[in-house]
Amino acid sequence: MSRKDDIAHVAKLAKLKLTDQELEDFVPQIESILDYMQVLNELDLDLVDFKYNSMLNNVTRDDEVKESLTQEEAVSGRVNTQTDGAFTLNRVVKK
Amino acid sequence: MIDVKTLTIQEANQMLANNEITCVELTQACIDAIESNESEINAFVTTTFDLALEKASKIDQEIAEGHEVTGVYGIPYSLKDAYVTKGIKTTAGSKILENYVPAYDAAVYKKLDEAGAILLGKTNMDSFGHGSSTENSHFGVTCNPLDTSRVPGGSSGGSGAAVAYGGGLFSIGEDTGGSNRAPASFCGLVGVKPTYGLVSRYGSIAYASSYDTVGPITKTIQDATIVMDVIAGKDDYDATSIESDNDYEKFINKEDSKSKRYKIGVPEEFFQEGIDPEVKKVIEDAIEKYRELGHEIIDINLPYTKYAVAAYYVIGLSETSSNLNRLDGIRYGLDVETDNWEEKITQVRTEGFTPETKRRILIGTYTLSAGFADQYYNKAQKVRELLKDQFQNAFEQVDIILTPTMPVLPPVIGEHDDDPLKMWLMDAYTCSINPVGIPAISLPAGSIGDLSVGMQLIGPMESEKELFNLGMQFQS
Repeated sequence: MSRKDDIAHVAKLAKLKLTDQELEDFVPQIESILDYMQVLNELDLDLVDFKYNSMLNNVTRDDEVKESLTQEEAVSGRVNTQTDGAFTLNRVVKK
Repeated sequence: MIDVKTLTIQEANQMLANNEITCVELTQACIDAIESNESEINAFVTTTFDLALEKASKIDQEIAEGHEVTGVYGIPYSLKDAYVTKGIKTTAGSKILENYVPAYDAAVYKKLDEAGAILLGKTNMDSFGHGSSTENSHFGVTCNPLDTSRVPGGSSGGSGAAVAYGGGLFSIGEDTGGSNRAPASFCGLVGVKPTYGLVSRYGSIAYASSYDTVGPITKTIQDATIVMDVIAGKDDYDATSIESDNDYEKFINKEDSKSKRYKIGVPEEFFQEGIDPEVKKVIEDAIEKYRELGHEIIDINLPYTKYAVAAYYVIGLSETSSNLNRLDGIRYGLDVETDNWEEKITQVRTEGFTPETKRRILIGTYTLSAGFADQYYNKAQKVRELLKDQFQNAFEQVDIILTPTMPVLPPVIGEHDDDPLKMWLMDAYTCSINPVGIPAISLPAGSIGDLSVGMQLIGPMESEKELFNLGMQFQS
């Protein structure tokens, strides 16, 4: 696959619809950025451990109920499309 | 007449305590500054003047009743529009959140609000923090008050510009790869990128979660310590937050601190290709001043600097593509009428994101996708370990590292429109810090004409006090 096909594919994965013009503009820009990132290949990384994020530790707390948003507040971002404290969505599966 | 353009928090504290000004007068002076500058600068997305004046008058009453004036009490400020504020529109500089009114408060806002600070409004930013110039906002470009043909830096450019012209005495920005330090450098201010976790990220709209930090932009180091004393520390709602004793201001004013001398490392790699010779000269003069003050200047090497920008962007964009998946138009934000689920999400995201955000999501999705993750993401995480080792080794030799903050003077607006990579490379000196988690501050080192040049002081984890102290010695 060409880079253009790859980018069109990831656009679909990322739920972005690109116009032909946008794809035209983005491909060389993204290509030059991805090429720039190839600099990492100069390094021999076989002996370096892969870590997702070595700065972090897991933190847990006792499972006590604490004050949080009310249901009304939690759905307040969608005034028009909520019913009885729930979001109303489009049907996902066919009847 | 209060000159809010030059007034510091420290001075305002004294004036309020001595009844030389009222909090309403101080707040009104900042509002006047905003009203007279905004048509030219565009630092704010939303203003909250009514709330501000209401709170100011309450504070005047409290002061009359004997309330102590300390810290940020009665001080007007602005908040980057990346922090959620209950009942106040929060956009992250984007169209997708153009009309989003959050149901809760970010930890940093809550802390400042409870300490008596007065919110004037929410400042403009590169949409979702995606930029170094504040040219990528849905709400237009912010101009640099020092020279309005130029960018203020980014992504917290609205915060930098607002503080520079007096639209509040400080601002809270978010620094993911230089977003506080760049505007500080370009606008002649102090910008703080604290140790990862030192200030709670609860309620901050994420760019890259493992890089994001919350910190102030102020006129002086002293002011930065005053704000840090309020906002730093552990928060139950951010598992990555850490403890802090919050005596930054006290520390830098101790006699022992004032006479403390440091081993300052100057990395060769930050003074090579790509740096503007005039900028270089200003930084070299600052180094000379430190030498004259009795600090030991040591040449050091940070050999992985060359790889830092690539690793930074691979991880940062992978994280942002993942973080922004939550913006689907279902629970909040932009909405469209369509009866197809897939179509709805696609349409909301396509209409709601700026081109720069789309570019970053595309690259991040690419570098995380099956078949490419090994080549990009996994490799970059390994380089991140090398970057950590590199700084750890350096801090065995020296106490603090000094570099330019930005390699160039602020670009003219539109200069890098067609070349995103060139704009990204402007972050080379700041973005290698965030993957490591260590703190860094930018403070004015000197100027070239009307423009300011910032220097960056970098220290080991939780070394903020020493960074502020060394910065303070330069400003005294």
